[in-house]
Amino acid sequence: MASAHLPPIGLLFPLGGPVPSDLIIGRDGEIDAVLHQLREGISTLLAGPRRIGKTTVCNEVCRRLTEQGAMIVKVEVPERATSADLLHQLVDACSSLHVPRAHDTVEVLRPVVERLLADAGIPLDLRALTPKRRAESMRTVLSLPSFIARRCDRPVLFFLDELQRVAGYEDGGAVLTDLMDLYAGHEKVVVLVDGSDERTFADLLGPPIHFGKLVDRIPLPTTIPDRVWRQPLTERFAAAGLRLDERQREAIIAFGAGRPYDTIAAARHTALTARRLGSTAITDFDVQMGLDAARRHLEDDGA
Amino acid sequence: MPDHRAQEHLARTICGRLSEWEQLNLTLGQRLGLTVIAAAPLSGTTGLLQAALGPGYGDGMLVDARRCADALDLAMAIADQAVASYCPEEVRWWQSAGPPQDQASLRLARSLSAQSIDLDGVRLGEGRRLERLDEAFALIVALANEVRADRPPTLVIDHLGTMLATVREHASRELLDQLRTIRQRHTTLDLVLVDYPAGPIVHALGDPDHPLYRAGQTLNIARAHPAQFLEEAGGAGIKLPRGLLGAAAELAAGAPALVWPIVDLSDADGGDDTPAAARGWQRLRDLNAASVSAQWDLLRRVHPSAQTLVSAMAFGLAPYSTPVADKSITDGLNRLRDVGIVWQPEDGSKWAIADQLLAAYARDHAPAWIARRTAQARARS
Repeated sequence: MASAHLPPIGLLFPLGGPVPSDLIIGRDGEIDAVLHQLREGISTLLAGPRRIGKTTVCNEVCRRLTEQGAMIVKVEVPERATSADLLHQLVDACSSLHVPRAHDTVEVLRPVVERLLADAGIPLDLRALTPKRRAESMRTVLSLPSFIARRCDRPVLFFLDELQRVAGYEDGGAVLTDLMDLYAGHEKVVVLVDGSDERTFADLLGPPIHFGKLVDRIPLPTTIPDRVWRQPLTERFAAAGLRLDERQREAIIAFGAGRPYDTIAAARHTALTARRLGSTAITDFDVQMGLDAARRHLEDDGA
Repeated sequence: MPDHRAQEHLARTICGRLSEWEQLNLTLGQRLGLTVIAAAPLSGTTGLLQAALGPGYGDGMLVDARRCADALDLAMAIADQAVASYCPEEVRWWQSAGPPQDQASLRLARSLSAQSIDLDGVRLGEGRRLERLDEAFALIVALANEVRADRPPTLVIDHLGTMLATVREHASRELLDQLRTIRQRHTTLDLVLVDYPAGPIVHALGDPDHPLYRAGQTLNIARAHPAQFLEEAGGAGIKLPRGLLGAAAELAAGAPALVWPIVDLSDADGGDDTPAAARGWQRLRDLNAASVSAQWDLLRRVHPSAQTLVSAMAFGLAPYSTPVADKSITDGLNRLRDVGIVWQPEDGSKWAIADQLLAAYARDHAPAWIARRTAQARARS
């Protein structure tokens, strides 16, 4: 069992989802590039295969822009047959925003959003709408980030995670067309999109959707250079109470070949082996066992 | 349970699965995020999980998805378990249909409503399925923060793969997508989903087109080889005649749910252990005769070829040697696997019946042609 005073391995070597800000390795350049584009008012698509850290980069961009006073409307595009749940999520995301006001007070935007929708004759639960009514309401709902930006007089980042799923919606074309109409060249709202299905995105960017009119594409490299891994890996093992010498570290890095998922899987399994054995320094045996476990892990994943 | 009974129970739970037990505790203790357990049928995985989540192993909850037909049932089961774990004194109100009455339940209702959790929706199972599922998890996190903020929660959804195998593919995909989203939203919550080998969740983890792709790691829990019971009994503190335990483990084909009842029913008196184990096995068969015969009848509803396939396997014949169309055999095996009746002990290996009680019943009630074909096969070999 783990030593009670040491952080769990799963928290130090996160795998399978976005990584917390303080654990990001080697994406500074991409984060800066996306930030730069967004600050210039250029809506951006961060593209690349799955599990290379797109959402991590986007989350970090959101965090930094929040610190700089932007408001973030984040929606994780769900896998559904229609846009109903997506629109509902957007209403929820906008309603849960709040904006600082004078005298240390905050204004909660829920009543404002509810009033806007009520005035437009749109119910709060959009999923109850018929397809025809949903189509009529779609543009109003998609314009909520724009409404908030004007109402609060602040820049808004509209982040749509895994946007390619919209292509599978019965009414996906209408969603994308409305997004382009509403936000291409918008003064206060920039759109950030990430997505992994390259083929779908290639279709969306070109005719007949022409989503490329709204977003500029930044590809996220699938690998991170070996030199970038060295220091963070050593520090991460140290945080786990484990000394990682150069030879063992290089074996882990060589196994991962720069791929973030593979490298962290190798590091995680090596650290787990060492912790299981109660070691304080990583040995060749720990690395061998860790790499074998990582290999099985990747095989299970169909890699 | 008195201490010695609890110790004996734990010893029996982990005997034969020491390695898996260590791996499971490491997985839960190291907060690995999302783990999918690929558990062989009748491998005793539920017992291992219950033991691992018990006192001293963190804040764990276990929900049995076999109670659930869809995401709404699952949401209610999760919410019920959260209330039972974190505020057991509120269970009576929670399970009623009425409004909160006493001060404590009113306080709980107010606190959760403040976090936008639709209490009546999740308590009474009303409204949209995936939204309620979302709220059930929000409930866990809210209660964990309120009651035991220093100990992050772990939720195990046992038999989820079995449940998903019976719902439509798009519903299964939506549910897994929602679980992934929920897990990413509540990063303090560890989630363990129990599937069967080659089940829908295991498959989703390795499918680049599935929302769950690479969202967690797999932990395989195989069924113990009968010899493992003998190897690990001493270390687990089990004092039984080796002959008796070995014979029971062989008769049960390593299924702990059968091994220990055989031992307990064996009336071993210090004489020859193997006949004692056989007597225990026969008593176990007698005790379960009614339910096993009902299980046999129900096979017809699983698939038209199910009884034929199970009969053939009970006699050691390959399913594809039966006089049934290949496609029907494949469909039948898949359905039987989805409900845990048959399995492949090794990846791609020969199919086998999971439950030795059913296998024995099938041998006693097989159609005549199977016995003759088996005799022919033996004569040829």
